[in-house]
Amino acid sequence: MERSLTTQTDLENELRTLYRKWPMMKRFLITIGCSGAAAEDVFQEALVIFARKRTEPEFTLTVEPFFYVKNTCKLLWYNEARKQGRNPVFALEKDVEQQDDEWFRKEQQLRQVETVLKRLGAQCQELLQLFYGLGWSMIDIAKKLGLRNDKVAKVQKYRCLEKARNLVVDQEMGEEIIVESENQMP
Amino acid sequence: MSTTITKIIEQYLENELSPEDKAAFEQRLAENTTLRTELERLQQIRQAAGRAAIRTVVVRVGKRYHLLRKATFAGIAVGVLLIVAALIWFISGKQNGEEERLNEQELASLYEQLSRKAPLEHIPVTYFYLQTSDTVVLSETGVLLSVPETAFLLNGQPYSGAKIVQWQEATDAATIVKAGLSTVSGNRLLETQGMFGMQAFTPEGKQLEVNPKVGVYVQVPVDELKEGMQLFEGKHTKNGQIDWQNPQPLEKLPVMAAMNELDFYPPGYEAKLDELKWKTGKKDRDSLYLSMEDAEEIKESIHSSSMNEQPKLAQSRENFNSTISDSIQYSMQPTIAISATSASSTAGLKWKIKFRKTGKSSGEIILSADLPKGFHIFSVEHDPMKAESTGMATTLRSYPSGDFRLVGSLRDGKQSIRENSVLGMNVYMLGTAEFVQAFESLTDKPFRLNVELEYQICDSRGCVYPPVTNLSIDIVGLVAAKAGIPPSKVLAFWQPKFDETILATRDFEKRMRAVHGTCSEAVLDLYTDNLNKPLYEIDAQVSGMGYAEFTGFAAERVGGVQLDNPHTNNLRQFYEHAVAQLRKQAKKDRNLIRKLESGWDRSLEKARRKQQVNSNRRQSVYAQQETTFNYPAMARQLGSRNTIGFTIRNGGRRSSNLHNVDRYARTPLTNQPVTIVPQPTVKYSDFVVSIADAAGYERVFLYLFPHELNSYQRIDAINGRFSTRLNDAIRYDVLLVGMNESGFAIAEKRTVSGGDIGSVGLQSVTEQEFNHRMELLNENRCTKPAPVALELDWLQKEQANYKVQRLRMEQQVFRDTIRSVVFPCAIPDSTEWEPADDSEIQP
Repeated sequence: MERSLTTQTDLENELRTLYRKWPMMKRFLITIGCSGAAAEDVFQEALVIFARKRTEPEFTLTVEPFFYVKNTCKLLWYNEARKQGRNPVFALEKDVEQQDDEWFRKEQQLRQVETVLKRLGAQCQELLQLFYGLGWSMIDIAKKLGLRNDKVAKVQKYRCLEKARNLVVDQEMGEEIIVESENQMP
Repeated sequence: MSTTITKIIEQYLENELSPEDKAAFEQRLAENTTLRTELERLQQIRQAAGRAAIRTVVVRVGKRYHLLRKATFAGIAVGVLLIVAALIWFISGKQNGEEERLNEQELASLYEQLSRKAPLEHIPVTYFYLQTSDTVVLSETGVLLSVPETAFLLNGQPYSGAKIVQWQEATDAATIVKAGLSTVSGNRLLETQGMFGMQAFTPEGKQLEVNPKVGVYVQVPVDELKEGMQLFEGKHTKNGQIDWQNPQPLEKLPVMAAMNELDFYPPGYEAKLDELKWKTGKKDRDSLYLSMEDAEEIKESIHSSSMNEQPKLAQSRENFNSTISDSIQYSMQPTIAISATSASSTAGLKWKIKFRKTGKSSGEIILSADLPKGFHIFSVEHDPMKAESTGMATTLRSYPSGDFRLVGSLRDGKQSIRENSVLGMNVYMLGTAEFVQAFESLTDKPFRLNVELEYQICDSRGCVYPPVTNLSIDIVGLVAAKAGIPPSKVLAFWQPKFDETILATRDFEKRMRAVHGTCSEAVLDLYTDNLNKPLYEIDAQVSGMGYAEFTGFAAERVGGVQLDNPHTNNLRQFYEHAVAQLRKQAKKDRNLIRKLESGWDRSLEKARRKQQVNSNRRQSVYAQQETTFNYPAMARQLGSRNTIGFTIRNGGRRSSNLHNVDRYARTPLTNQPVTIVPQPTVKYSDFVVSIADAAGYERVFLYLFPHELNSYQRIDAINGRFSTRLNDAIRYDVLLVGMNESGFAIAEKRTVSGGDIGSVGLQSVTEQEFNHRMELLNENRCTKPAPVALELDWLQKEQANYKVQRLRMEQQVFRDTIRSVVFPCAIPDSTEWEPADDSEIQP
């Protein structure tokens, strides 16, 4: 609990530092053909990826976090542009291209699941996020969510997982449609 | 069932299963693919939830970031600053720097700490967090702070970067007393208009000093303007009191007023309208004023359609079309590109110069050039003084010419980059250079516009010495500026958006009256394009243009509303946008009017055409019917047998019929040879009637309703007299109709049969009455009366038309009157405008 809180503060600090570069990043994204409206989504996704990556024990940054995020942005936008059937107006440098392809692909898959989770109720979302994301204990979660005790919270967790699982199955069934509509996104 | 599976998998993943269960589960996992899929799925969900948690943090950080940025800008858009009277501020004595505190997220606790050091005790503290690029803040209470780039010093050096400005104000007696503040300067008592405390800190909490060369500009709204207010500096004395010292006179500030309290109409415009008892609403008067722009176009279309003859109408439509195509041409006015001759051969850029028409007599030239890779060109806003004397702003000069004059100064044609580097503030463009210069034509003829462009391009290694380039472009399609101040330009700034500018001042209101007198758009442009300049500077500039009355204004030395650049730039952009919008609106309104008018003309014409067709058809039917009617008489006369059965009531009742035949037989109607058959003839009698007071009607008709025929016939008057011939075998009812703007007037004569019945007076009837009478007459006849409704329709349309046409005429007279007020310099004779318009149409 103690640890996870400090980690969270660390994370927020790091993200804030990175976010200050947003105007620069926006300019950069626009120069490579990303629309201003879509740019922040790309940037935030890159930050999410960075935040996840930095927790991996074997991960060592070879470049400044800013450049890591910038490259990720570029890679994300490159994929996005390709998905939209546009010819990216730029080529990827080798180092960007080699950025852990398999892992990156998995991240994109997870992003889809993440979108599906959005359809859960607010309490479920918060519960799952606190537990799996921030590593809170069931006792703390119960307090936070106003549940009687950790047992109730745990039962609730199972319920939420079940709902999430059904949503994911639904989504897998209608994959094509969803993928298509995702493509519509700017 | 699935719940249990999910639960078990979850327990397995959380390592909550007993060893036996775990072994069993793993056993099944190895055998069962479905279970494996479920496991993977759950793992994905768990990871995705973790991801969502991180995204929540990211989004929160993003929101916070934007909020902080926005907070400093928000005020600019909404702030309403009313009367700024006098300011008293003091910079508290320098306090010892405190320990570094870098954490932005602990801003709140930093604020708390700083608040303890606030110069005014017991007075609420406001903080502004300013990013490096923020220069203007407006608090909720209307306090405006302008903090230019180098407003603060850190350890004696100009500081740029994020800063926290701490602000306190005590403007009302209660707050001042509650806070125990004194208003004493030495031994003298002061009357205060407010006390303010301001300190600035770096985000780390280090105290900043105000740069005396730049200063922080503060505007505080107060309720009442008091003369002789001065700015005092506060010094803490040993006994804890504050002594106010070093008074400085305040700059004379323009008297601000809300836009809706000001009058920018041409002098006499409202008075004239009041005199004419015209609508008093500002909206109505604005829209009338706006509609005066390009009024001559409307005039044309009105004039040509004010006649009601067919050919004229057609012409009006033609006109309408041509005005439309004019306007298309206008907007598609080709931009002419001439690659310019560059005087400097080596360092010069290849400039392209384009002309864009912005009004009848105004235009812009757009100068553009591709920069060599790595080079940048300085913006017009680049200030070498702020950049360690490096770089040279791009400038443009024109050779003196009677053909045109430049309006305002050169502007950047695209967003330039602002970069704060070791060399200070650099404002420049990369990739391409683009500049815009507005000008006004002083002639109707095409002319060559010559300008001289001076600029400097640099790359990382150094700069190319300022090359001077001569550029020229041929301008066609402009007319000499003369009419006056375009209403759209006035209305564009006459709105609350400009409440905080020099335009929303009583001082400018006064000047505006004189501006109308100059009839020069350029003069107005000087004021509207230089929102950040003191009024007296512009006054002097205008007086330099030869308008003597502005010399007096300049002597008043009224300063400007010194909001800093971001603000005025925003407003300028808005202004330009607003002008465009208003112009569009005016055009739309004009087009709508035209459309309505032409729509009216068209529908009238349609009614007329229909009427024409009907009456033609009716005439032929009538003739046919009459022939049929005449036939038995003729047959009888000829003594031959007819085999066709007729049902003619009253047929042959008149002996006079036969009586007259002889005469006709002796007078053959055609040149048919008499030898073949004796010519059957019908007896006709002349019928004459005139309308008393025919001049009182726009149009008079006579309708014949033959009893025996199911048709009717319209006779048009010749000089107020109707003259026709009636078939002696038919009895007629006669209806006389007079039409004028106020409606219909009629007179009936039942059962007439030739002769001159002299003059008949008409009697006014309502439309319903008219319809009714006509129906009655129609009913009085044989079994199948022809429909009268169509005829009525047309009649009413014709009648209404008089009103419309007359209104249009009157409207025109009214507009001409107002127009001369709006455009005092316009030449009243409208024909003067036409050649000018023609020349504009030519590509």
